Amino acid sequence: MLSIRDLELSYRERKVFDGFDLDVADGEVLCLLGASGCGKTSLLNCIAGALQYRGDIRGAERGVAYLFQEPRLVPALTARQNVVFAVSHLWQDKSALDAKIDEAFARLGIDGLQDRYPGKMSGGQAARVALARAFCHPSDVLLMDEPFGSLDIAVKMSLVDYISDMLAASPRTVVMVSHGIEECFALADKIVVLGGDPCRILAKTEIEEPRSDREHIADKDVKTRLIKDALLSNASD
Amino acid sequence: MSAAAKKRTKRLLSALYPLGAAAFIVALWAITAAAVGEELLVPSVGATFRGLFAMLGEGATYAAIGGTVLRALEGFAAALAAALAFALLAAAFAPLKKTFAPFAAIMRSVPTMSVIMLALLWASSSVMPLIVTFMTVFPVLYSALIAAADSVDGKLIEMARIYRVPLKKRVFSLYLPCMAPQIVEGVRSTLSLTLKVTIAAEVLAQTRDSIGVGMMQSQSFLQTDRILGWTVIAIVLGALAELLVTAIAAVVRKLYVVDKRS
Repeated sequence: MLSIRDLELSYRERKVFDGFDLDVADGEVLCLLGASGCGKTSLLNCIAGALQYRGDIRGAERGVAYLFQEPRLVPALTARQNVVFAVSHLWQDKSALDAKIDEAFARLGIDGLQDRYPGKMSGGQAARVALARAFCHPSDVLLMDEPFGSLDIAVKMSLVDYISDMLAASPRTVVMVSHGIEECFALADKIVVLGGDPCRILAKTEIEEPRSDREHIADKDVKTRLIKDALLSNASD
Repeated sequence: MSAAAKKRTKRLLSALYPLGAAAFIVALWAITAAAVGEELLVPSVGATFRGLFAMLGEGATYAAIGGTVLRALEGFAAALAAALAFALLAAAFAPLKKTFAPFAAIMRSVPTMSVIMLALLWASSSVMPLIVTFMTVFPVLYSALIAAADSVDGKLIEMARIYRVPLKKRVFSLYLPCMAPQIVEGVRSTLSLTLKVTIAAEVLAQTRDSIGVGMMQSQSFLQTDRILGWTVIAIVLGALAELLVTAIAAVVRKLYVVDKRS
């Protein structure tokens, strides 16, 4: 379980978190929604260990896989080399890593891109290479920071399907930041709305339907209303 | 005109520009020499090249060229290795960058002649040009490499930190490839400076088997044509170094397809 207790984080005078608690069960996909600047990405960066914070975060000691808003591929390395660069030090068995990379590329439909440089890839291809890199990380925790933010609708939809497929094949504890309710409904087991100053949980809701059958979420309208009300109440604070 | 013919014409024209510039310099030289009319002050183009060809027939000339090139390369290689090491350390650890900054600023500001005078006291005539070359070239290369390291995308650095990529791998697979084009540019701009500084130091240190001493002896015997002959040799060496760096730059560009989208 990923457990966050009594998190405190400040940027100069501003307290972003002050005694913030959150739990994410093993294998659960948690989606964070909230206004820009409320602290969603800061929370991911605390979990990733990229920010200095006070408090207790457990469950990410082995490191985390991270899917950023941009692919963040090293331009001088090929697609495969990018994956190897980011994760090879975490694998004892190099042949197992090779097999894992092959499997990830095949599953994402980018088998033919292994030797291609990022400069020669489309946005969607680069996003899938970044996804392959994240899934080749041996950690049980995957963080996603608006991974669909800069993609067009078609690429976004296909990437949602790929992530759903990858999670079915290799379940992870996921914390995802998003601005799109639709993506949250497609992937999340739990949706949490953050807001306020300092940041707190404004609302949360769970989605019981299996990920493969999210077309028919029984109380989708009720959940959408709950999320929108929480977001709007925070906006009018 | 076909595309291939257009390309050929363009290539021919781009080769003609430097030839035109060289012809202009030679013409200016010939006119000045004719106007002055004194071979001792401004030797004619013909006399200079006769002197140069005479020099090329002497074994000592090649020993001098070899000695100077070796010293310049040694000083340059030491400066490049040190600048690279310090720049990478500074890029990886911000406090080190702040610590190194005043030293680099001081080294940049110290007059070359001060370095030469002190090195004359401290070192032998064969080592002194090395020290002077290193002290002059290092701060220039360090500044260029710091700028190159600063230009590495911060988001990629953050990605590597979050994925806990070991420092060695970060240096060799992230920093160096991303810095490669700027490293090559830094090398290109400092190579000619290196040769100039090495020759100047050789003159003052009277280093054996060196272009500097060759120039000094020519000046002592009032052989202006030979001084210009040595100058032509130094220019040719600089041009060859430039060609070599251009070839390396082409390989670097081919190896690392750098694109803004990352």
